[in-house]
Parts: sequence; C-alpha cells; structure tokens
Amino acid sequence: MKKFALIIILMILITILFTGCNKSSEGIIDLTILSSTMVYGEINNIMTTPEDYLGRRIRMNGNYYALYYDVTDSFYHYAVIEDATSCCQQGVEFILSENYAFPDDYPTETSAIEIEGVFDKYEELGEVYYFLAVDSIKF
Amino acid sequence: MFFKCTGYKMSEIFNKLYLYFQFPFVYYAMIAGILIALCSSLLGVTLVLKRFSFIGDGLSHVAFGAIAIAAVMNLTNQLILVLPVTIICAILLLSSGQNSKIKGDAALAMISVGSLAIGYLILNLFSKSSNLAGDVCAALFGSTSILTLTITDVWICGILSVLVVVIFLLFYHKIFAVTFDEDFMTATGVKAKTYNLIMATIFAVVIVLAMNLVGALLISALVIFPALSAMRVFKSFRAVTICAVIISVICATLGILISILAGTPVGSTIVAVDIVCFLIFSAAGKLKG
Repeated sequence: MKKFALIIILMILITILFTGCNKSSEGIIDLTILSSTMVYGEINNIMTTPEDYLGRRIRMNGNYYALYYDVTDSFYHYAVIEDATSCCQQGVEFILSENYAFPDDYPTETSAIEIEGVFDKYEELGEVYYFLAVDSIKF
Repeated sequence: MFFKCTGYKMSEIFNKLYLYFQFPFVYYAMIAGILIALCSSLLGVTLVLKRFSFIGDGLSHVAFGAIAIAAVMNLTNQLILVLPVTIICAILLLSSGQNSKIKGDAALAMISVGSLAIGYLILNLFSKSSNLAGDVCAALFGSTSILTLTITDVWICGILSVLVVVIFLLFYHKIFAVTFDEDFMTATGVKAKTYNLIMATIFAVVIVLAMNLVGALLISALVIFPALSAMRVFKSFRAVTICAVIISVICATLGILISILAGTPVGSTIVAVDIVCFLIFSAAGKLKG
C-alpha cells in the first residue's frame, strides 16, 4: 500500500510540474474547429486574460446580438456562445470594418455568424474594453 | 472497409486530441480531474463501508451555500471561506453519534437542504451577477468549471491532493480499523473520535475540490461509483481501495476526453462513464461468482 501511495504522490508531483511545459501556439486561433466545450473554455481564457491575446487573429462562431447604449449613443455588437449545459453564456464584442454599414450589412439578431479578425482593445468612459476587429463575417 | 473507416475515425480523434492538448486549460483540467478522482475514490471505500455514502451530497450542498456567501462578499479566493465551513459541517456530521438529539440521516438531510436553500436565497437577494441562473447551474452541475481553472487553482488542487494521500497513507491502518469496528477500536484505547475527525476533514477537502469537476449535485457519484465497482470484483480492503483508485482515475480521464471531443458537459459525462464501468464490473463480478 505504501509503495502504491508513493507512486501516486510521485505521479501527482510530476504531472503538476508538467503544467509549466505548455506550448504557446502562434498564428490564428480557430475556434470554429473546436467542440462547444473547448470553445467555452478558450473564450473564458480570452475574457479572463485578454492581454495575452492582444494582436492575435481569432476565428469564431456564435449568435449575433446588438446592444444600444444611450450614454454613448452607439450600438455594440456581440458574438455570443453557450456552454455544453446551455446555462452559461459568454459574449465577445466585435467591430466590423468601415466597409460594413449598420444595419444593412449586419446579420439579423440571434442569427448564427462566423467572424474573423484581430483581438484588440479600446478605452471608453474611463474603462478598457476588449473586442475583435473583424474583417470577415459570414451569416 | 470497416477497418478503413474505423482507422480514419480513430486518426481523426487523435488529431483532434493533439490539437486540443495545445490549449493549456485542457492540461489543467486533466491534471485537476485526475487528482480529484484519485482523492475521492480513496475515501469512497471507507464512506461506503461506514454507510456514509450520501454524506458527499450533504457536504457539497454546504459548500454551495458557502460559495454563495463568498460570492456575495466578493471574495477573490472563495476557498478561504468554503473550506473551513465545509470542514466544520463534516466534523459535526461525522462525529455526531447515536446519542445526539437529531440522528445522523436527519441531521444530514437538514444541513443539506438548509444550505442549498439558504445559498440560493442569498444569491437571489444579494448577488450582483447578471447571469444568476448560469452561476447557480455552474455550481450545481460543474458545467465547464474544470476547463476554466488557472495555474494557481491547479497548484492548490495538487497540494491538497498530496495532503489527502499522505494523511490516508499515514493513518491507513487506523482508517481501516475505524471503518470496520469503531467500538472495538475505542475499547482497545484508541481514540476513534480523533480518526473520525481526521477523516471528516480530508473528506471536506475532497468535496470542495470535487465541486469544480462535477458540481455539487454529482459529487456523490464520484465518491461511491468507483468503490462500488471495485467491490463487485474484489473482497479485501486493500484490493478494493487500489482498484477504486484505478477505476476512478480512468473514468475521469475518459469522461474529460469524451466531453471535450463530443462537446458534452464534463461532470455528467464523467458520471456516465462511472455508471458504465459499474455495470461492467457488476457483470464481471457475477461471472467470477
């Protein structure tokens, strides 16, 4: 029993040490080829550590939602994804390039979209917001 | 044709897994999942034999209540509050003897539903979250919490797991004795209550850890299924414990892999794998005779 337990403890220590050996992938983060569970995990990472993703190119699927905020008199656009249990949702704000006019060139509310762009940030009313500067949208 | 098809699908699965393991949070989930499964199965055998199988459910509801309070208090590290509260309740439940005014199962039911109700009430009244239903669902069913762990969470999980294994190792013979004949142990002068206290403490630690993996409502499955599966085939305490650990770790690994490949909820997928394993071991036990 002691040998078995010692093996277990050694395995625990080795596996924890390996957590520091993850590869940091370069290039595009393509969320469209991942399962819904994986997408939720990665979007959560993007939202919790956004600085790590600045400048990275991201492609993702989601449902389109638009929000009007009267203080800034502007519309904000989001791609929303759900987790596997459908109880948690996360939205990624995106801004389409100037070639797209709102609302004519935008999708209808709640429709499925695929967007691709570069992750960036802006400052508004003293707060920092992170968004996807989208140059390609499919719906 | 069949093998060609199967071969293609298998290579596709391996390619997907290779791709998924490029993401650090998958590593974290695997490590934390395996550690939690290991610790919960270690204690599972003792709890099943002592007829405390349902205590995991009660304590996880207590942990849910504590999480609700920690969320309302805006604590960045909820473990500071959740762990001591769960440990205190575990000690109260496991050390309450037959002479107490409220008997074991009634006390367990009372604490269990009481904590669940108070936790939900507090969240409803004071939570500033915009997605209350989502927060409650995540705490109850684990949701994808295991895939949202940070490196710090994994380290905490690792340290607590090592602690649980070391304590189990150090007190293995005493735990064995308390499990089978507490009265005899007390009669021989050994402080059975102290060992019950130690067990209650490490069990509370495991429950708090397992909340991340399967959520409050599914923790019992993680504790009892591996132990029950092992008991179908093996008879000695040592063999059952070792087999339960192996079953639990394999089921957790398979459950996590299936859930990330198929996009299913992690907690319920792990429990489903545990159920299948139990059925296989039951059949094997019957064949063995």
